[in-house]
Amino acid sequence: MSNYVKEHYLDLVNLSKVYPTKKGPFVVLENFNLTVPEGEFVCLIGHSGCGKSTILTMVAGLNSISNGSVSVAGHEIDGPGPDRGVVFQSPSLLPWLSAYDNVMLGVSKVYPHASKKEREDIVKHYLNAVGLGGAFHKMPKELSQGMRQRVGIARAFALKPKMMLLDEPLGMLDALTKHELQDLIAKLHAEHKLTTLMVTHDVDEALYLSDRVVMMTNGPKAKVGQILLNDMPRPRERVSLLEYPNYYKYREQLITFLEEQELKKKHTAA
Amino acid sequence: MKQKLINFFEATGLTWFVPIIRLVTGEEPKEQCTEIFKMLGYPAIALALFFMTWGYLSTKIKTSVGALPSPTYVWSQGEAMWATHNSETVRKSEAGELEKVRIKFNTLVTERRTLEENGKATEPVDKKLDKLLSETKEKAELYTPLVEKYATIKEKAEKEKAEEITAIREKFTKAGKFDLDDSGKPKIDVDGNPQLAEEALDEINYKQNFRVAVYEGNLVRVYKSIQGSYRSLINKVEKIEKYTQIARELASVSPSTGHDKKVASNNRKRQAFEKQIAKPNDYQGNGSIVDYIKLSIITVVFGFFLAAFVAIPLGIVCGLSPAIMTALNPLIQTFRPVSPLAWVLITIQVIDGIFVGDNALQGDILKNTFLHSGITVALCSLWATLSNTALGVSSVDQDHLNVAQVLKLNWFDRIFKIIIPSAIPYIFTGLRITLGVGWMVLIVSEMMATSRGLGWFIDQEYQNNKVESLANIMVCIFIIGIIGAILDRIMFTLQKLVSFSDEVSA
Ligand SMILES: Nc1ncnc2c1ncn2[C@@H]1O[C@H](COP(=O)(O)OP(=O)(O)OP(=O)(O)O)[C@@H](O)[C@H]1O
Ligand SMILES: [Mg+2]
Repeated sequence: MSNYVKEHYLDLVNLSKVYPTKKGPFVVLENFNLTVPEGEFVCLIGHSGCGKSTILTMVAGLNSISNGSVSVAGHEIDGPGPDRGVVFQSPSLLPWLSAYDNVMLGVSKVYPHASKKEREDIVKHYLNAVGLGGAFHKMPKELSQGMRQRVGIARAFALKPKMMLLDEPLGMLDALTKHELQDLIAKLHAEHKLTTLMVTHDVDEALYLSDRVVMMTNGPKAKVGQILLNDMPRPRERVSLLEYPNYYKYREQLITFLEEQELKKKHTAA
Repeated sequence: MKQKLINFFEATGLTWFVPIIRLVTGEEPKEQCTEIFKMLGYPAIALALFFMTWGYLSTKIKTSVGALPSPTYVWSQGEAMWATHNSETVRKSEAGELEKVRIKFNTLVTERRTLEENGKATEPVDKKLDKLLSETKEKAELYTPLVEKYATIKEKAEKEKAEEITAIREKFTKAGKFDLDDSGKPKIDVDGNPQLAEEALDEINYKQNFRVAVYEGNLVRVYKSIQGSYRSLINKVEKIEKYTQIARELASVSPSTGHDKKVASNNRKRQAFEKQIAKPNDYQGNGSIVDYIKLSIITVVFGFFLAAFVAIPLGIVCGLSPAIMTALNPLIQTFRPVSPLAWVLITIQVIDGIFVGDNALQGDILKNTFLHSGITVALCSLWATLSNTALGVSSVDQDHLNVAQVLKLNWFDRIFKIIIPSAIPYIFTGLRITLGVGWMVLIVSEMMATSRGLGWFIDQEYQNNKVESLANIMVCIFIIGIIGAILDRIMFTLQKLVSFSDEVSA
């Protein structure tokens, strides 16, 4: 892989999104540019409705691109594919399949030439990795929210994707479960070094997980407002993080940005 | 165990059993008792009120065939139907036995023929025949005491009933309740006695209507007829024996003039009787309520599967393709509200056109009339499954479609792994409605198609035009209702099993 591609593993170039609405076209994004080098963990934060999910679904290929381009590993994307693992806020498991079969559905698709035993091992490995060793054959309705999201994460990782797209994956969880899953995501990222784009509302979460935090301005026509280079050393410990000299500075920067945007929002509304 | 039972009752929607189980296992007795009272007590009160109202109305309402049957009378008619079913069962098994005996005779007689033709000794077979004949004679006579026994019971019951009626008559006579003419004197009835007042006649009629010792009365008839059949069989075998004997005698004397003719004529007679016992005896039962119920259930299940077989694939296609949906919608909207009475007529004509004359279906169950009612059920009930399936397929969760997209599932997997499974709860909701509608439609289609199920029976009873028939119809109404409720419970349970969440409306 050329150095250029490594540096531009995920490349959003002049990305635009226009939703046709009854009141005429609604421009959510216009000329949005972002480059993520291979293996980097980028968090997207911004106010509700600014277009974070829109970006993510476009990268996933689930949402059409109005203008501009998205490239992954040097190739412009064309629709969705298993090379980009996606985890949404709701785990969207297939309710008629067990945890095991939910993961297996993708695995048998992505490893068509693997033997039955190999596939089984892959599924088991990832379910074990997310801590669901004992719940292989539970149905989604028998699992807690947190467990379901774990299955969703296992399903995404089991596809051996080139990159991960996470849209507020922990948004619906209670604080304790959230911390557990943050640790899980950090662990998986450390293991696989997958290029990751994650949307979150949680400033602490962003600082705990990311290498860079991309702050978006309010929509419509949202842009990259600021970028914070999060150079806190890895592996990170939740407790020692607080002792890191820059932690509060970074946190301050993020919150200030969000508050500014909040003010602007009120301003334009008034 | 306990939890299993509770789960079972909850899954089947029979939740009122749950507190009973908890109570039996000694769980918070007080709470469970209130719970039981709520779940069983309230319905019990409603039922009691219903029967009281019915009982009251039955004394007030006059139908065109007499007083409206009271709950007790309807119940007694139900018992009578059950008794008839039991006596028919006896008849069936007795007729089966009889047929076995006939076959034994026939085998022996044929065997003897073959031996004779081959010029072999027939003694062993002769002996066997002799033995079987005497056994059968004994057996036939065994029915006499049975007939007597049941006839006595029946007579006694009839006598008691007659006495009760006389008692009523006397009671009213003593009270001086007579039907008076204009001059204030009692009218005279056909027997020359003073005519009792209407209320007295009503009470007598009411009493008169109750059938007594139905089972025993039926058995008397069944045993008499079986005995008759045995005797006729014995008679035929004896005739065969007689002509066989003559044939042997003729063979032993030296031929004289006309000998050949005698032999031939004797042989003809013998063969005629041999032919008679060679003929299988079809058991011609009268049918009983259980047979009608069975046929009705089989018919509705057939219609239901036929409906599902058509509606589910069609529904899936409609759900997948808005174009096809739009194309078919006018047809669906037009046919959906058509009454079974109209469908059944067309079905009858079409089926009778296909299976006509010698091709008419003659199976035990599979008859033309069976198809008439079954297909009508399907035609009237498939719409719910069709539209529910289409709805289920077209409203697949976008998240699940995204999963399919991300995994780049092909067309086949998309439909069979994502779309259909996610539509299954909808499909079962539709199927539950289909079965309910089908059961409702079945009765009227059986009436029109003369398929011998409950609907046909009701129609027959209606044609009888008697109070007794009216009561029988009312028994059928309860049977229909209860079976309908059971079918719905079954579908409810299935629906619950396939649903992804726990909300299924009972
Ligand atoms: N299908 C659509 N049609 C029209 N407008 C849409 C559509 N989807 C999203 N939008 C609009 O686009 C804007 C961005 O939506 P998006 O879901 O990307 O926001 P977001 O940043 O993810 O918000 P949140 O933090 O609440 O998830 C919103 O104003 C939304 O109303
Ligand atoms: Mg969003």
